[in-house]
Amino acid sequence: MFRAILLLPWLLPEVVVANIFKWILHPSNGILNAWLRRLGVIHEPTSWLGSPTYALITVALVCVWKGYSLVMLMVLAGLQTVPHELREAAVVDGASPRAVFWHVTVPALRATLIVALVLNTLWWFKHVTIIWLMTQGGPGTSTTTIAVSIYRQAFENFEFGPASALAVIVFLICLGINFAYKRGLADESV
Amino acid sequence: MSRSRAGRHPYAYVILVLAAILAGFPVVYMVSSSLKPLSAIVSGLATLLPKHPSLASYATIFQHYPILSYITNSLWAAGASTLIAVVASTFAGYGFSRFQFRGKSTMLLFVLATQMFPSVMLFVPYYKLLGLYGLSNSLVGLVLVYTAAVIPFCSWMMYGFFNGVPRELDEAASIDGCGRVVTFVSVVAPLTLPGVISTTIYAFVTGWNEYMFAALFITSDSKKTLSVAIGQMAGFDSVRWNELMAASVVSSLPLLVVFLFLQRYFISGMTQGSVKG
Repeated sequence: MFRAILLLPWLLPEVVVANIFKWILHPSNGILNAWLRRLGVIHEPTSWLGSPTYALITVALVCVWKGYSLVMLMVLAGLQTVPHELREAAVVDGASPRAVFWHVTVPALRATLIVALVLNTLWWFKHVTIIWLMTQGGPGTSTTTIAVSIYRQAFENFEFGPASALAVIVFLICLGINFAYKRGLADESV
Repeated sequence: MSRSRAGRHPYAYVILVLAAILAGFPVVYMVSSSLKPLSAIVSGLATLLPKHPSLASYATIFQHYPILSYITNSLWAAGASTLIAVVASTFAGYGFSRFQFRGKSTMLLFVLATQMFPSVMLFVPYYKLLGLYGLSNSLVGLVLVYTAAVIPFCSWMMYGFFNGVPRELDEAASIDGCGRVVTFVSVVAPLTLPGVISTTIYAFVTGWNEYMFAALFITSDSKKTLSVAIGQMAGFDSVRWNELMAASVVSSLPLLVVFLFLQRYFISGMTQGSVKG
């Protein structure tokens, strides 16, 4: 049951996620501000998405909410490839549960964790939908990621050339991130 | 196994419950908001549960918006692309798993590399291409885009599943006189059914949820998909949040139902097939 609940964020459409959180965060009628006011944390309605200071971190948290369940699935998949005997052997050798986790399970999961890390970095690096729907890159340019700026160049200014150029740069950066992680992986295993 | 463990570690259980609340709260709030009347929505005194739950906002969205046509369009786009993608990637997975051919590893890598293209990067070329072939503002164009988007990952998943079917089975079948086709259809493919199911769910969920491409390519109201319609409702000057949440529930519901029925297959499928580190 918990698995199903924890997978909900992955299942919900991005549009729906963006709208739910826009509604929860709504400055005057949202439930977050209502609760925070009752608790005395804030005294007047705060526009989390309208403030240049908080907008980016708020959007990022929403993306975490949406994104963690896929990572969870990947780790779950990875866990099933860790041989049971390995952990048993460690227990027989007198390792505490904590030691088994840090010295047996986590190292065995390293490949999975790195794949998850790479895929997620790339995935959110180039993400547009949730950010665009929640803030359209604003206020100002405080949540304009490079992907959002491509979208804006192409379909608000109709400057397809510069947009494509930016897209190629994003692709190269993604490739770079990928190689950097691979290099890191290779170094560690030496 | 997990139940006995949770019993032995109360702290782990507490964390699990907290995580479930964090994950579930927005969903609960979506449903509860959709049951509130507009007066409660704009009162500024948000409550977690509706005081007088009513289905009025659902009635409104079905009367005032062509929701049924949006749903049909979404079903069409997601369904057709899923069908094509699953069939294609089943064959691709089988081919990659069972045949040796020149350039195979390059091709596998290339398929994986397509996953690295930012979808923003594809907006402009797709926009231009679909316009060129007269497929912008058409569901057929959307189906093509969705199919292309999910085939790589689906192929990799199916590749993993076919690899999990022992080759000895193929040999046994061929000794028993089965040809390639019969072996594939009646021996190997049925064993990958969990894989086919999880591939289907993945492709369908992706297509059903997709927003950006649909919002860009579909301009006429009669062809809009549900997610585009919802995005548009949120763009109105005065958003009626209860109706918007009702529409969001409508668009999430099919996924929840399908997933609840098939989650056993799906989770085991994802965990066996795709990610092998």
